[in-house]
Amino acid sequence: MKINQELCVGCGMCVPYCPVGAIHLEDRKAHIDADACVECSCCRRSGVCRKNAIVQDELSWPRGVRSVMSDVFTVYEGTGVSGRGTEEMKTNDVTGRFRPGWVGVAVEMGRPIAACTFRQVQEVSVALAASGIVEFEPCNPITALMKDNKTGYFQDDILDERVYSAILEFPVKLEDLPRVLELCKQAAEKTDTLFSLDVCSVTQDGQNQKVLEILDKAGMSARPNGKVNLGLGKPAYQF
Amino acid sequence: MSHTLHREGSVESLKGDYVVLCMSSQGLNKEGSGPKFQRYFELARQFHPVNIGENKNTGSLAAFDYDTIIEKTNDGCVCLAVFDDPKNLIGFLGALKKEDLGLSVVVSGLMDQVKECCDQVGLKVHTVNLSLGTFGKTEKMAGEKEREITTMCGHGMITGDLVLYHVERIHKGLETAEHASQEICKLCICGAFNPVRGAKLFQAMADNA
Ligand code: SF4
Ligand code: SF4
Repeated sequence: MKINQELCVGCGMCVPYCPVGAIHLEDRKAHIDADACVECSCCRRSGVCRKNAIVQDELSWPRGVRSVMSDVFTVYEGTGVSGRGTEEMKTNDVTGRFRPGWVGVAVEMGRPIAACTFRQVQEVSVALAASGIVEFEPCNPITALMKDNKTGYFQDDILDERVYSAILEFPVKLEDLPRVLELCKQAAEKTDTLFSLDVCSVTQDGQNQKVLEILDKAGMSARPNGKVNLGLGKPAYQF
Repeated sequence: MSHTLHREGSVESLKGDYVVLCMSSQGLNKEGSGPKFQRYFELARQFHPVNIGENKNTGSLAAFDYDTIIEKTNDGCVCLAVFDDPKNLIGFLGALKKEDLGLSVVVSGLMDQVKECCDQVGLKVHTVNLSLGTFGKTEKMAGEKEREITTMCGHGMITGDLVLYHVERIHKGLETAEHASQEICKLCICGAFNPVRGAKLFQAMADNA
């Protein structure tokens, strides 16, 4: 994203609209720090600039990856869904993606509103992959950017690209969940950014209760608010 | 895209915040889903949603009128309807059960309360998604109070600074909490933002400013 310096009148209205603080005023003009900007389009789309001075410059690779991961409207061709993740548990009633005996884990790096580089994501993905119990969700745009989804290493040319969020998604066996939670705790101590963490599970055979017990033992707890799939989708997946 | 999962706030405040999402699955029931989504929005309308939206062809109620959103909804959309009252949520869930659209429906909200609403209309929870919170350099986040508003847009399109900007304006009498909430709501293009809850939170912040 760029500011057309001729059109900008330096009113400063756009500054608080940038989630990553990439816009600043200098010499009565707005400027965008290209390194910090994650190409989310929030500033331009908000319509806050009455002078139409916020303009999208052409994004070539690898910078274009910022837009794929940060702009809600940029559709990743692999999933056909705009955004950074997959259908995950939202369609589990028809896809059976997370079966009994398994849970889904999502580590959303950079969220909320901290952003991250792929190098920071890689620190976590490599640690998770090295455990040998994690294989990243192939439909997630992040996985497509890895050199190898078994090692968690990303393509070298994108490592310093900064994105709004990157979701590492993977299924693990229920009995491996404690190990994954431990790895997430270790990652939390080392990372220079932040991540939100979530776990999904079917309710069949009371598995969701078992997940809560595992969380408790790991010294973690679930927020009182969460998400539930009501099983209304058809054709229903037969476990 | 667990974008309605990590909404923050007190239990009391979250009692007025429920998001019902409807979507199809690629390759399974996406084809021909458009008219079903339209029906979904028509059903929701009977139960007074405080916001609706889809992020493919239109956006939220803050930017489009209800009929336009319905009209433009087609195959493969991800449709959201937000409620501030559990009674309306119960009514809508009952209507969805009866209509049997055959699409996946996901409710975000206080787990105990959502479960109770499902019980009342005879729906069973198939899969749960639990938020374990935020880890790492959490000091990089916006302040706790601001986050109650910012996290209602799961894509993070609302900044803490913008919340504070509006709080100051409300405090100085330059705008109402309702107006600020509507303005902020426009930035959440999927329609996940709850403007009624937003206005209450804005007012409380301005009163304490
Ligand atoms: S809102 Fe427009 S005119 Fe005002 S500072 Fe930003 S770019 Fe310049
Ligand atoms: S595109 Fe996004 S990150 Fe870049 S300046 Fe605009 S709001 Fe900030």
